[in-house]
Amino acid sequence: MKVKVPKKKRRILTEEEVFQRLIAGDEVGLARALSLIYDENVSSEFLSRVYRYNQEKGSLSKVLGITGAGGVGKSTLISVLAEKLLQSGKRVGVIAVDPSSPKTGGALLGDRIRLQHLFPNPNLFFRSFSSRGMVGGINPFIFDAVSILEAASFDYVIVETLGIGQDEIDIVHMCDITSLVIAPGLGDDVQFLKSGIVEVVDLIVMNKADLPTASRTIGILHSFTRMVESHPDILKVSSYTRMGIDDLIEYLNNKWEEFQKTGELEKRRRFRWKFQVGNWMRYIMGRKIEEFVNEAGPVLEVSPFEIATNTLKEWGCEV
Amino acid sequence: MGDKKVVRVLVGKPGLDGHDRAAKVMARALRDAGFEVIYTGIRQTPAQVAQTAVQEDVDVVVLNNLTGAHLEVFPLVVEELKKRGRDDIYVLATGVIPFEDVGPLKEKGIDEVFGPGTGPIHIINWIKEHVMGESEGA
Repeated sequence: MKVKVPKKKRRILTEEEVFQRLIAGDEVGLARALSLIYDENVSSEFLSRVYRYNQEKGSLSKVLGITGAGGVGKSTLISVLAEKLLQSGKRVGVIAVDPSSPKTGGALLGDRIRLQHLFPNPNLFFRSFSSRGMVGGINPFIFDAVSILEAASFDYVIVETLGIGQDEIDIVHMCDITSLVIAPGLGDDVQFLKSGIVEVVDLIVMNKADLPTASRTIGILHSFTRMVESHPDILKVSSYTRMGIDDLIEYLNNKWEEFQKTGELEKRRRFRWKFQVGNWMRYIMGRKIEEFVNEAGPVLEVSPFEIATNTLKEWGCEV
Repeated sequence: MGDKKVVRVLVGKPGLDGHDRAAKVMARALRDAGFEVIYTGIRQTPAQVAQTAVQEDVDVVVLNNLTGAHLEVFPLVVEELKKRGRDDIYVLATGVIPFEDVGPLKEKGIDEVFGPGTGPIHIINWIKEHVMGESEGA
């Protein structure tokens, strides 16, 4: 017996439909909006509508960044945070960024596994992003994804990125409050000194604090952060035993409200907008430059500097 | 302003089955084929798989089950997708599926069945033909 299966045609929603469903809090609309930003054919008007909408309604989503090295327990910590927030009736949206393969562009996005037990749940949304080959772990698309989650009016928008080095600090420009997650036994004090990220995050979350080696790592951290002028606070938590999780949520809530009162939140969000303009310009120029370089025949007797400056002049850029 | 279309695939393991070697090998092979692959992990309910497919806005869901529960569990995923208004997502069945179960699965909305001995390349080619062929034509 042969059963004929008709070829499926992907149902296309217009930008108008996507926008209306997005702001109505519809899951399909939100998921589609997040795909739309990667779509070659999306109009810049769509994103402008999202920004305008957020500005008019006033976004009260708390945008929380979670970064740190691989294996420190970022995803598990987010699952524990989400669980607690959902219990108190909050709506939570999560964006997790994983690296893509430099060879094929493919990616295996596995952060979701740590939260799967919380599904199905109408108040929890999780979207896995690949970095699509862009350095710093964050590309302009992901900045805009945060704005889309704000338009869907989540109480909390949590962004997870892999970040350890000096180049991977973009997340702090994207979020209202950024936490660096560390775990005991990962690297010595030199690792902290090398990494610029300790200087820019708001909070260091010491995960796996139930392990016996945790106090030693805390000691090293304290001795280092004392040397930084405005050093981040340090909190001890354990996703495994749930130790300190309530304190962490309270800390983040208080910090956000403090930022809102003092105008720090407004300042950060204005900077985020400016930073995102730069993100897009770098991305667009980057593509243009790549196209040029691919076609430029190597003329080994001319200096690359000369070609570069001449070409930029041709493009109308003052060099 | 956008980027090139990248095919997104969900590898889902619905049902009480902890044997995930095949699912992991498949996820890796699909990644190497240039797709963005999301893996649910083991022991998922059909509703969990469907909500994940909706949120991740995937083009294809590849289901895998090695306990013989495919005739019960896989059609439930199709149902859950339909309930959420996303029955336009392709659903593929993989695992130890006897030949005589292929017809019943397809009748219940599974788009293609890849039984024992199917290499990942067959699944990759199917996806390329059905998803990418379609987007090029549109």
